[in-house]
Amino acid sequence: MNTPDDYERALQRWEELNGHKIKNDPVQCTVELFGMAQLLAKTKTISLALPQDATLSQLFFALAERLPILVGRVISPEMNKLASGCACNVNGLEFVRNPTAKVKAGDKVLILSADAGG
Amino acid sequence: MYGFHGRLLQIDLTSGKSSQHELQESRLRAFLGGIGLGTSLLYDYAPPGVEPFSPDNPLIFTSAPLVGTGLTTTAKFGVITKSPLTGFIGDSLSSSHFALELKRTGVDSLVITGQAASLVYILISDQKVEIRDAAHLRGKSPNETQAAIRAELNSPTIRVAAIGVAGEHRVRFATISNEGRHAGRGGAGAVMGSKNLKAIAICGDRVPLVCDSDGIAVIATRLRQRSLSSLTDKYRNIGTVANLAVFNRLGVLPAHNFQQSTFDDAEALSGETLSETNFARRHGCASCSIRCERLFKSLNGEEQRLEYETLFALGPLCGIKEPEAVLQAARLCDQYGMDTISTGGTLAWAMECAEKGLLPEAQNFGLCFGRPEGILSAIPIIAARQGLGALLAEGSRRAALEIGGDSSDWAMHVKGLELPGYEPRGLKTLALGLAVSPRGACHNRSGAYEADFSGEVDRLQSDSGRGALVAASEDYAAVLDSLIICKFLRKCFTDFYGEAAELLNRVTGWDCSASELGQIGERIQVTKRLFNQREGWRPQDDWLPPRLLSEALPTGVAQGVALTATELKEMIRGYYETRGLDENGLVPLKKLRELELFKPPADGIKSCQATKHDGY
Repeated sequence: MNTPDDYERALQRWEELNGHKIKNDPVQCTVELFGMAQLLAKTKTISLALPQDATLSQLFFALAERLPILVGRVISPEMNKLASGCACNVNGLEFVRNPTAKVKAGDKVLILSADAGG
Repeated sequence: MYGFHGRLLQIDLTSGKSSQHELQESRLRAFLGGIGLGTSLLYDYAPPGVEPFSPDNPLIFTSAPLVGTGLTTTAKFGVITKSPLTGFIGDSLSSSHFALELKRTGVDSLVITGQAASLVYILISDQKVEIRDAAHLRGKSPNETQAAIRAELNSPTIRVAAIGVAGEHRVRFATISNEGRHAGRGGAGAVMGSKNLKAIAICGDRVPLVCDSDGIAVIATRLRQRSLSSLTDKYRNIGTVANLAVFNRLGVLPAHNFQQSTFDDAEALSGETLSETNFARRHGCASCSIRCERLFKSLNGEEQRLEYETLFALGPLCGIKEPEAVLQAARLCDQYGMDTISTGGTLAWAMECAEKGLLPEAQNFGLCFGRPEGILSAIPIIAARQGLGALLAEGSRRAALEIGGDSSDWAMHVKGLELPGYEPRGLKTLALGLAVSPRGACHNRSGAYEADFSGEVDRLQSDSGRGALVAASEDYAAVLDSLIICKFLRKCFTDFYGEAAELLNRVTGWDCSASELGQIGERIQVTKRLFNQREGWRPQDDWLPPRLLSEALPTGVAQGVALTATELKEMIRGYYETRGLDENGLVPLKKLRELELFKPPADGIKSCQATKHDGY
């Protein structure tokens, strides 16, 4: 079965051949994992290809499919939002609470603890 | 009375006498316990203008209504005094078994005044107070002191809070330590040392009655369950060291004495890396289900507790990237009894001075950013006030005043208390919280940074509305610190004031409402300001170090973002307005009346200063 990474590579090949972007280009973004998410996933970053106009909710779903270990602890059991205790920041600048917020191509989505106490 | 003993134990070390006094229920209801009760007692027991090292400066230990109830995270106690670092209120919390034992002594507070003729320790056992010679304990670490006292008394369960060498030498940021926990910020250990008091050993058997023990048990079970949910995952599974990598990514990790807002070698020191490479075991305070403490192994196999603030202050702030060096520096601070934030902050200041040619002694000593040998050699001489250490033992503000030149511009403190590991230029609500905090640059007496990390506000922008957020956060923290409930449990409440009022009522039998509890928080906070006002606070004390207002964020995702004096002024204005203070930050009579803090002075002279809380 093809994985999102297979599609990503295939689309990239067509792009290179044609010299322009094809219609319905998927949105490429990177998820950066911190704290518990990183320890559970045993990785710091993961690339995701999402449909155009994808929302954070869809990103969480895609992430949950790629890393099922995160479901329950980091991503809610419904896989459409973060679990309580986790927060999301886009590009290191903006904390986003609304899961319907759109993901833009090239976004780096940080998943971290919602509690910054130290 | 339920939940409290209604008693205060005063010990005068000069005369060696002790006496018990009634603590009126009205005072306890107005200020609760912990930091609130301590603030109220400090106001009354400290003579106006008292020098922090004067025998008259009271060193106050307080218990709290929830302590000993079995509720998770409540085994805590307060230590309150006039800080030798700031000259204002110094209020700290520590925790674990000493807190439980303090509650069992049969009093809600110890007020220690005077000065012993030679080094002593206080033994409180079976309602008796004994002042014992401590000459043989001189030079011992807090842990060694507890072991020695236990052996001497043949009592393996007696609980001890002690100072280390730094406290004996009145290092202005010395701690009072028990069981590896510390009343850390503001130098309470130096005040204890100034009284020639090495330790307090306690053993008690008096447990105050709880009004509704069945009701408490139900809530205790519920809270314990919540404390084991994903809401506390960070604390339970990585600990506070998890902050480092996140703060670095967000460009709010202070490094090289706040000359950088990221650290190139953060990866090596991140909580995630340490968890993989150096983790030894997890530990917790008494009565705590979260068990946030992480102990890490050093190269020689020794275990050392490490928190984010220690990691930041002895790591990136000093340019140190080697985990082993940070662990060793943390161990030294614990052994000598020194606040790691102020230690790191003062060392980083000295490093910058050395770099810029203002403190050749520091340069000769090897105090340079990134050189572990420098800090490892400097910590012992600070604790013993030897050579250069005597200057650094004064903290960055006083040391800078002595050195002169531009060095005050590099002393990163508020009111004399060194800044914690949150970069104010990239967390603007926090910036305001630090500036107006009565105890100085403190991230614990308000959680102002929470607004910045929540997405409720833009952390890189400022507006006058931040004042309301900071005030609310301060009141909330004051209630937590006075009940006492650990802040790491805070997210487990869905309606904090409602649930906390229910808890308090089931313990005490009172009918305290959520709004009354909120007002108590405000009363505590305003009383802190009143104390500071009486001790010489000026509007310019609510301010930030020059660097933060003149240099934009130097590195990271928010590079170039600045915090201007105009922005800070506007936020402060909003804070004073929300607090009901006048435009200069003074507490007006109207506010005193509103919070029932005002009693008309007998001499008929109207004053903005509260009179003694005789009504409580």
